[in-house]
Amino acid sequence: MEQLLGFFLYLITVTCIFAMLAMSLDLQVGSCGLVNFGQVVFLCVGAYTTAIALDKGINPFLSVVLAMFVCTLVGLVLSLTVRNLSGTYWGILSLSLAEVVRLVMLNERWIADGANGLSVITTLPYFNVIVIGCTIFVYGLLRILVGSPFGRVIRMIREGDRLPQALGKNVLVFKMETMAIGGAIGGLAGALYAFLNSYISPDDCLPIETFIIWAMVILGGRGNVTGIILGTVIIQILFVGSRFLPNIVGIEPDTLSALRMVLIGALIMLVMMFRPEGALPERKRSYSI
Amino acid sequence: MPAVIALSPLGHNKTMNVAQVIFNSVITAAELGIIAIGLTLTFSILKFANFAHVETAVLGAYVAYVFNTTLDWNFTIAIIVAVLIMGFVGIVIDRGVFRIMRNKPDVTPMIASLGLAIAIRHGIQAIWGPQHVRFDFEIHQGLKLFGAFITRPQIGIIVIVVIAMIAFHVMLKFTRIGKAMRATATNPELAQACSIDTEKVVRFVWFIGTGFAALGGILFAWDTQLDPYLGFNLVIPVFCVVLIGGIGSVYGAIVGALIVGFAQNLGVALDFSFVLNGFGLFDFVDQVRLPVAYKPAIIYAAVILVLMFRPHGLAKREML
Repeated sequence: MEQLLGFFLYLITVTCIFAMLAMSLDLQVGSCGLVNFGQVVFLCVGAYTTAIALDKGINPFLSVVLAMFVCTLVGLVLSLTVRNLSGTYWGILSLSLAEVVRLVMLNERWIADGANGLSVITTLPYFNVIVIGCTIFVYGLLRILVGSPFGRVIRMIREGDRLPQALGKNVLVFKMETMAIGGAIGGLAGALYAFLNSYISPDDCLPIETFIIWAMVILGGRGNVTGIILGTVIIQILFVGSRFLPNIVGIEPDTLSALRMVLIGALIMLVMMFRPEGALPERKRSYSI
Repeated sequence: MPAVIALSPLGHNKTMNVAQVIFNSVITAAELGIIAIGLTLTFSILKFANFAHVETAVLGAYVAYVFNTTLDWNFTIAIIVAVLIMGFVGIVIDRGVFRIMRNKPDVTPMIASLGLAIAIRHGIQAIWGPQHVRFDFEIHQGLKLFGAFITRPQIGIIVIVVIAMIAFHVMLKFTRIGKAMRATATNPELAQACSIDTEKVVRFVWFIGTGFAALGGILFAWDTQLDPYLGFNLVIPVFCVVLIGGIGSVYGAIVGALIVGFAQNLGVALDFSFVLNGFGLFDFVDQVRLPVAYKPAIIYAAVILVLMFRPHGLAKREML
């Protein structure tokens, strides 16, 4: 019974961490229209920063803050490349940048021991409580942020650059701010991910992670924070549920993990075909009299 | 990636084998270019980035593998049949998935193609397993040409790609369907008003695009080997080629492929010590070379550089 409870707690923690990553992506994609195909870079940089900082003997809490700070910088660098690029171009560019980070981590042994990865020995006290607390905090923050004047402007930017420019808004600054906030949240999730797994390697930074996070956002509903949580839970249930299937159906685990990804891909496709706004669509308020 | 093995001994020599580097660059450019043409063609008509395109290339290679190895057909016939089958698969994909999102904003089909790409890649893995496979053809000794080692498949690849590109050019410029394609790419409404059946054009574009992708995938697998992760290694280089050339520009894609091919192979072959030595003024270091592991990163650097100065790639306008 206690084992089951521990497993359940682990499940909730993983879901919370991915929910934070998905909410960060949703702020960029759903609210601001920044098609970021390199979301995994925040997970990667956040986790690595924490692992390296802990290795150097820095306080665990301080190392989490440090990871958030570094990821904010990464977000700013990413947003600088958005300057005059349209959606598709920037999507590919962010994908490439994330891959460059992964390649550097894989090949430069002096940074973080290359392909071997880094272990995190330190543990945080009340780790599960902290993760759940952080998720609730991020959820509340984003709910407030999207409804605030800032949120209104970035949603306007999503619909096109012309109107905000005509109203005297500096589009680039708003995009940079969005990426910075998204980066900080992503960095927080990455740091907690390092604590959860006690280990980080370049294999955790593959682009497929980005697409799994994308699946959560698409399924849940872009622009609706509650929907994102729902999407994350659905994808996690899918992942965990199919883990117990081999015992029942009797398929090879390798084949099964491939089939699981086929299912996720097909799910993304079907949602885009028949319900592109996702399970919980963005609530559009109208200001008619 | 192809040609890695052929190039790696160069990293230890003081002098660079110029002919070999040029040859490897052309091979890489040919293989990437043929896939990129299909991608940029579908983009110019359908106006979205098709992430599944590269995965259809890998699927095409596996279809050819089945005909060649499992059914024990002649290699040439297997290639032709696989390319034709994949062309029809392209039409089926369009009918099944992308037709109902014709008038949606471009992010919708782009994300759907992402889902399709994930499904195809892992579907391949589920069916054929994660291990490497090879086509069944006779292995001949490599040739030596101007001091460069060349395998016979590589000569075949260059010949096939050149023929395919000339055929494509002729089709685009001199046939009725080519004219209709260019008209639809430039202005769909006007094309429809001129009684061009744009749906027919779209079907044709899917056929050609996916067929070319399959051909490229087969050539890649012929040059090296085939595994389900080939698409993963190809997707960013192919998109970089398209981005550098300008999305939707077919001739830009050929130029982009050459740029990427040469940047990739020169990047690891060049001795960068002259930069650190102050261009010959000093003699700080003996030789500085990029590790071969950074070969993919060179492409990303190339695309970032091009996009910084020309945000829409090298082509002037977004058209065929």
